[in-house]
Amino acid sequence: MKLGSVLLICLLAGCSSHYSAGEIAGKYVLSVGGGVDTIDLDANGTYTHAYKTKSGAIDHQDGTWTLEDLQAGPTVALDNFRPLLAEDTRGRGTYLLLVKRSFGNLYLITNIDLDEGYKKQF
Amino acid sequence: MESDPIGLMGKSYSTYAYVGGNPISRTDPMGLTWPESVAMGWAWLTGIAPPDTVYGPQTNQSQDMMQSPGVQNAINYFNQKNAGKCPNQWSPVTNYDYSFGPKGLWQAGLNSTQQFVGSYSVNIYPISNGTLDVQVNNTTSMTSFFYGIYPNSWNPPNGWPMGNTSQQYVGTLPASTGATGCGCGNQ
Repeated sequence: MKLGSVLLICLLAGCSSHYSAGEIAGKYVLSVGGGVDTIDLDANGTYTHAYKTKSGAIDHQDGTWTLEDLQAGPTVALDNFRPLLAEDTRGRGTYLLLVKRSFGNLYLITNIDLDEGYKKQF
Repeated sequence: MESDPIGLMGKSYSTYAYVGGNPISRTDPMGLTWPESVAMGWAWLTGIAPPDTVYGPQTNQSQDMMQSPGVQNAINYFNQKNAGKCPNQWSPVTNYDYSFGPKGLWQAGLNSTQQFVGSYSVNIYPISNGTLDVQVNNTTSMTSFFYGIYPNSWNPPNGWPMGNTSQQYVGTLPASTGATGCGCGNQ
Protein backbone atom coordinates (compact mmCIF):
# COMPACT_ATOMS: atom_id res chain seq x y z
CA MET A 1 0.00 0.00 0.00
CA LYS A 2 2.75 2.39 1.03
CA LEU A 3 4.83 1.41 -2.04
CA GLY A 4 1.80 2.00 -4.26
CA SER A 5 1.36 5.49 -2.81
CA VAL A 6 5.04 6.30 -3.39
CA LEU A 7 4.84 5.08 -7.00
CA LEU A 8 1.68 7.12 -7.58
CA ILE A 9 3.30 10.25 -6.13
CA CYS A 10 6.42 9.57 -8.24
CA LEU A 11 4.30 9.19 -11.38
CA LEU A 12 2.42 12.42 -10.74
CA ALA A 13 5.49 14.37 -9.69
CA GLY A 14 7.71 12.88 -12.39
CA CYS A 15 10.11 11.46 -9.76
CA SER A 16 12.17 14.67 -9.97
CA SER A 17 15.54 14.51 -8.26
CA HIS A 18 17.82 17.20 -6.96
CA TYR A 19 21.55 16.89 -7.32
CA SER A 20 24.51 18.97 -6.24
CA ALA A 21 27.24 19.87 -8.70
CA GLY A 22 29.57 17.64 -6.67
CA GLU A 23 27.34 14.61 -7.26
CA ILE A 24 27.15 15.30 -11.00
CA ALA A 25 30.89 15.88 -11.46
CA GLY A 26 32.76 12.97 -13.01
CA LYS A 27 33.59 11.23 -16.25
CA TYR A 28 30.79 10.33 -18.69
CA VAL A 29 31.22 8.08 -21.73
CA LEU A 30 29.08 7.42 -24.81
CA SER A 31 29.93 5.07 -27.69
CA VAL A 32 28.69 6.74 -30.85
CA GLY A 33 29.55 6.82 -34.57
CA GLY A 34 32.14 4.08 -34.18
CA GLY A 35 34.12 6.15 -31.66
CA VAL A 36 34.08 7.05 -27.99
CA ASP A 37 32.74 10.39 -26.78
CA THR A 38 33.85 11.48 -23.29
CA ILE A 39 32.78 14.41 -21.14
CA ASP A 40 34.70 15.07 -17.96
CA LEU A 41 32.88 17.42 -15.59
CA ASP A 42 35.11 18.91 -12.91
CA ALA A 43 33.57 19.99 -9.61
CA ASN A 44 35.23 23.41 -10.09
CA GLY A 45 32.79 24.14 -12.97
CA THR A 46 35.01 23.34 -15.95
CA TYR A 47 34.62 20.51 -18.46
CA THR A 48 36.78 18.67 -20.96
CA HIS A 49 35.15 17.01 -23.94
CA ALA A 50 36.95 14.55 -26.24
CA TYR A 51 35.96 12.34 -29.14
CA LYS A 52 38.20 9.46 -30.12
CA THR A 53 37.49 7.96 -33.55
CA LYS A 54 37.87 4.29 -34.45
CA SER A 55 41.23 5.12 -36.06
CA GLY A 56 42.44 6.69 -32.81
CA ALA A 57 42.28 10.37 -33.82
CA ILE A 58 41.24 12.60 -30.96
CA ASP A 59 39.41 15.94 -31.10
CA HIS A 60 38.80 17.86 -27.90
CA GLN A 61 37.51 21.11 -26.40
CA ASP A 62 36.93 22.59 -22.97
CA GLY A 63 34.74 25.16 -21.28
CA THR A 64 32.55 25.76 -18.25
CA TRP A 65 29.40 23.99 -17.06
CA THR A 66 26.57 24.70 -14.66
CA LEU A 67 23.75 22.62 -13.21
CA GLU A 68 20.31 24.06 -13.94
CA ASP A 69 16.78 23.11 -12.90
CA LEU A 70 14.70 23.07 -16.10
CA GLN A 71 11.22 21.73 -16.93
CA ALA A 72 12.47 18.25 -17.84
CA GLY A 73 14.58 18.03 -14.67
CA PRO A 74 18.13 18.77 -13.52
CA THR A 75 20.19 19.64 -16.58
CA VAL A 76 23.90 20.15 -17.23
CA ALA A 77 24.50 23.27 -19.36
CA LEU A 78 27.81 23.15 -21.25
CA ASP A 79 28.84 26.61 -22.45
CA ASN A 80 30.80 27.22 -25.66
CA PHE A 81 30.22 23.61 -26.68
CA ARG A 82 29.88 21.97 -30.08
CA PRO A 83 29.32 18.25 -30.70
CA LEU A 84 32.56 16.72 -31.98
CA LEU A 85 30.90 13.94 -33.98
CA ALA A 86 31.27 14.90 -37.67
CA GLU A 87 27.64 14.00 -38.51
CA ASP A 88 26.30 16.31 -35.80
CA THR A 89 26.06 19.74 -37.39
CA ARG A 90 24.84 21.66 -34.36
CA GLY A 91 26.97 24.79 -33.99
CA ARG A 92 28.87 26.09 -30.98
CA GLY A 93 26.71 27.39 -28.14
CA THR A 94 25.02 26.24 -24.95
CA TYR A 95 24.45 22.49 -25.10
CA LEU A 96 22.03 20.96 -22.60
CA LEU A 97 22.09 17.44 -21.20
CA LEU A 98 19.28 16.20 -18.94
CA VAL A 99 20.52 14.31 -15.87
CA LYS A 100 18.80 10.99 -15.25
CA ARG A 101 19.38 8.17 -12.79
CA SER A 102 18.49 4.65 -13.89
CA PHE A 103 19.19 1.42 -12.01
CA GLY A 104 21.83 3.15 -9.89
CA ASN A 105 23.65 4.65 -12.89
CA LEU A 106 23.81 8.34 -13.75
CA TYR A 107 23.26 9.45 -17.36
CA LEU A 108 23.49 12.70 -19.31
CA ILE A 109 20.68 12.27 -21.84
CA THR A 110 21.31 13.09 -25.51
CA ASN A 111 17.98 11.76 -26.80
CA ILE A 112 15.01 12.07 -24.43
CA ASP A 113 12.81 9.85 -26.63
CA LEU A 114 15.26 6.96 -26.78
CA ASP A 115 16.47 7.47 -23.21
CA GLU A 116 20.10 7.27 -24.32
CA GLY A 117 23.15 9.31 -23.46
CA TYR A 118 26.51 9.50 -21.68
CA LYS A 119 26.93 7.08 -18.76
CA LYS A 120 28.89 8.09 -15.67
CA GLN A 121 31.97 5.98 -14.95
CA PHE A 122 32.66 4.96 -11.36
CA MET B 1 -18.12 27.25 -39.71
CA GLU B 2 -14.85 28.88 -40.71
CA SER B 3 -12.20 28.21 -43.27
CA ASP B 4 -8.82 27.16 -41.81
CA PRO B 5 -7.48 30.27 -40.02
CA ILE B 6 -3.97 29.66 -41.36
CA GLY B 7 -5.46 29.64 -44.86
CA LEU B 8 -3.38 28.36 -47.72
CA MET B 9 -0.16 28.65 -45.70
CA GLY B 10 -0.88 25.14 -44.46
CA LYS B 11 0.40 22.08 -46.33
CA SER B 12 -2.99 21.30 -47.88
CA TYR B 13 -4.41 23.15 -50.88
CA SER B 14 -7.89 23.10 -49.31
CA THR B 15 -8.66 25.36 -46.39
CA TYR B 16 -11.24 22.78 -45.30
CA ALA B 17 -8.79 19.87 -45.35
CA TYR B 18 -8.23 20.49 -41.65
CA VAL B 19 -11.64 18.97 -40.98
CA GLY B 20 -11.12 16.10 -43.37
CA GLY B 21 -12.71 18.04 -46.23
CA ASN B 22 -16.04 17.91 -44.42
CA PRO B 23 -16.67 21.25 -42.72
CA ILE B 24 -20.24 20.37 -41.77
CA SER B 25 -19.84 17.28 -39.63
CA ARG B 26 -16.38 17.75 -38.12
CA THR B 27 -14.80 20.49 -36.09
CA ASP B 28 -11.19 21.30 -35.26
CA PRO B 29 -11.28 23.22 -31.99
CA MET B 30 -7.48 23.13 -31.58
CA GLY B 31 -4.47 21.80 -33.38
CA LEU B 32 -5.66 21.80 -37.00
CA THR B 33 -3.85 18.55 -37.70
CA TRP B 34 -5.72 15.48 -36.47
CA PRO B 35 -5.98 13.72 -39.90
CA GLU B 36 -2.22 14.09 -40.42
CA SER B 37 -1.48 12.90 -36.89
CA VAL B 38 -3.67 9.81 -37.31
CA ALA B 39 -1.89 9.08 -40.61
CA MET B 40 1.52 9.52 -38.93
CA GLY B 41 0.51 7.22 -36.09
CA TRP B 42 -0.74 4.60 -38.54
CA ALA B 43 2.47 4.82 -40.60
CA TRP B 44 4.52 4.27 -37.44
CA LEU B 45 2.34 1.35 -36.27
CA THR B 46 2.57 -0.40 -39.62
CA GLY B 47 6.24 0.34 -40.32
CA ILE B 48 5.69 2.38 -43.49
CA ALA B 49 6.87 5.69 -41.98
CA PRO B 50 10.07 7.13 -43.51
CA PRO B 51 13.13 7.16 -41.21
CA ASP B 52 13.36 10.97 -41.19
CA THR B 53 10.69 13.59 -41.91
CA VAL B 54 11.21 17.35 -41.88
CA TYR B 55 8.16 19.62 -41.58
CA GLY B 56 8.76 23.11 -42.95
CA PRO B 57 7.61 26.36 -41.34
CA GLN B 58 4.42 26.51 -43.40
CA THR B 59 3.09 23.11 -42.35
CA ASN B 60 0.30 22.72 -39.80
CA GLN B 61 2.50 20.36 -37.78
CA SER B 62 5.34 22.87 -37.39
CA GLN B 63 2.93 25.64 -36.52
CA ASP B 64 1.42 23.41 -33.82
CA MET B 65 4.85 22.68 -32.37
CA MET B 66 5.98 26.33 -32.44
CA GLN B 67 3.12 27.01 -29.96
CA SER B 68 4.12 24.16 -27.66
CA PRO B 69 5.18 24.81 -24.04
CA GLY B 70 8.61 23.26 -24.63
CA VAL B 71 9.39 25.71 -27.44
CA GLN B 72 8.22 28.63 -25.32
CA ASN B 73 10.37 27.40 -22.40
CA ALA B 74 13.38 27.00 -24.71
CA ILE B 75 12.97 30.53 -26.10
CA ASN B 76 12.69 31.93 -22.57
CA TYR B 77 15.90 30.06 -21.72
CA PHE B 78 17.58 31.41 -24.88
CA ASN B 79 16.52 34.97 -23.96
CA GLN B 80 17.89 34.49 -20.44
CA LYS B 81 21.24 33.10 -21.69
CA ASN B 82 21.61 35.97 -24.16
CA ALA B 83 20.13 38.70 -21.95
CA GLY B 84 21.40 42.16 -22.83
CA LYS B 85 23.45 40.92 -25.80
CA CYS B 86 23.06 42.37 -29.28
CA PRO B 87 21.70 39.96 -31.93
CA ASN B 88 25.11 39.57 -33.55
CA GLN B 89 26.40 38.21 -30.21
CA TRP B 90 23.60 35.73 -29.59
CA SER B 91 24.74 32.18 -29.03
CA PRO B 92 22.69 29.05 -29.97
CA VAL B 93 20.98 26.83 -27.40
CA THR B 94 20.72 23.17 -28.39
CA ASN B 95 19.20 20.00 -26.97
CA TYR B 96 16.68 21.75 -24.69
CA ASP B 97 14.51 18.85 -23.52
CA TYR B 98 10.78 18.97 -22.89
CA SER B 99 9.43 16.07 -20.83
CA PHE B 100 5.80 15.25 -21.69
CA GLY B 101 4.38 13.20 -18.80
CA PRO B 102 0.86 13.57 -17.35
CA LYS B 103 1.16 17.39 -17.25
CA GLY B 104 2.12 17.49 -20.93
CA LEU B 105 -0.80 15.22 -21.77
CA TRP B 106 -3.11 17.74 -20.12
CA GLN B 107 -1.42 20.84 -21.59
CA ALA B 108 -1.44 19.48 -25.16
CA GLY B 109 -5.22 19.08 -24.93
CA LEU B 110 -6.69 18.51 -28.39
CA ASN B 111 -3.54 19.58 -30.21
CA SER B 112 -2.94 16.33 -32.05
CA THR B 113 0.63 17.10 -33.17
CA GLN B 114 1.73 17.81 -29.61
CA GLN B 115 -0.04 14.65 -28.43
CA PHE B 116 1.68 12.61 -31.16
CA VAL B 117 5.13 14.08 -30.48
CA GLY B 118 5.10 13.78 -26.67
CA SER B 119 8.60 14.54 -25.35
CA TYR B 120 11.07 16.31 -27.62
CA SER B 121 14.20 18.44 -27.73
CA VAL B 122 14.58 21.96 -29.12
CA ASN B 123 17.50 23.59 -30.93
CA ILE B 124 17.53 27.39 -31.27
CA TYR B 125 19.82 29.25 -33.68
CA PRO B 126 19.88 33.04 -34.02
CA ILE B 127 19.32 34.44 -37.51
CA SER B 128 20.87 37.72 -38.63
CA ASN B 129 17.70 39.84 -38.45
CA GLY B 130 17.14 39.13 -34.74
CA THR B 131 14.81 36.21 -35.21
CA LEU B 132 15.38 32.59 -34.29
CA ASP B 133 15.52 29.41 -36.32
CA VAL B 134 13.72 26.89 -34.07
CA GLN B 135 14.03 23.14 -34.62
CA VAL B 136 11.95 20.63 -32.66
CA ASN B 137 13.37 17.09 -32.79
CA ASN B 138 11.35 14.00 -32.00
CA THR B 139 12.02 10.28 -32.22
CA THR B 140 8.93 8.09 -32.38
CA SER B 141 9.78 4.80 -30.73
CA MET B 142 8.41 2.13 -28.42
CA THR B 143 10.56 3.63 -25.63
CA SER B 144 8.93 7.02 -26.14
CA PHE B 145 5.45 5.52 -26.52
CA PHE B 146 5.76 3.73 -23.17
CA TYR B 147 7.20 6.78 -21.35
CA GLY B 148 10.73 5.35 -21.12
CA ILE B 149 9.70 2.03 -19.56
CA TYR B 150 10.35 0.00 -22.73
CA PRO B 151 14.14 -0.57 -23.10
CA ASN B 152 15.80 1.32 -25.95
CA SER B 153 17.78 -1.76 -27.00
CA TRP B 154 14.50 -3.61 -27.72
CA ASN B 155 13.20 -0.97 -30.18
CA PRO B 156 12.53 -2.39 -33.68
CA PRO B 157 14.54 -0.70 -36.48
CA ASN B 158 12.91 1.63 -38.99
CA GLY B 159 10.83 -0.22 -41.54
CA TRP B 160 9.42 -2.58 -38.94
CA PRO B 161 6.05 -2.03 -37.24
CA MET B 162 6.58 0.48 -34.43
CA GLY B 163 10.20 0.95 -35.50
CA ASN B 164 12.17 4.10 -34.75
CA THR B 165 11.38 7.15 -36.91
CA SER B 166 12.44 10.75 -36.42
CA GLN B 167 10.63 13.99 -37.16
CA GLN B 168 11.90 17.54 -37.21
CA TYR B 169 9.59 20.56 -37.04
CA VAL B 170 11.11 23.85 -38.21
CA GLY B 171 9.94 27.41 -37.61
CA THR B 172 11.05 31.02 -37.23
CA LEU B 173 10.17 32.95 -34.08
CA PRO B 174 11.16 36.30 -32.57
CA ALA B 175 13.57 36.64 -29.65
CA SER B 176 13.46 39.16 -26.84
CA THR B 177 16.75 39.43 -25.03
CA GLY B 178 16.17 42.98 -23.85
CA ALA B 179 19.28 44.35 -25.58
CA THR B 180 19.22 48.10 -26.05
CA GLY B 181 21.84 50.64 -26.97
CA CYS B 182 25.28 49.50 -28.18
CA GLY B 183 24.14 50.55 -31.63
CA CYS B 184 22.05 47.47 -32.12
CA GLY B 185 18.74 47.94 -30.34
CA ASN B 186 16.83 44.68 -30.12
CA GLN B 187 16.35 44.00 -33.82
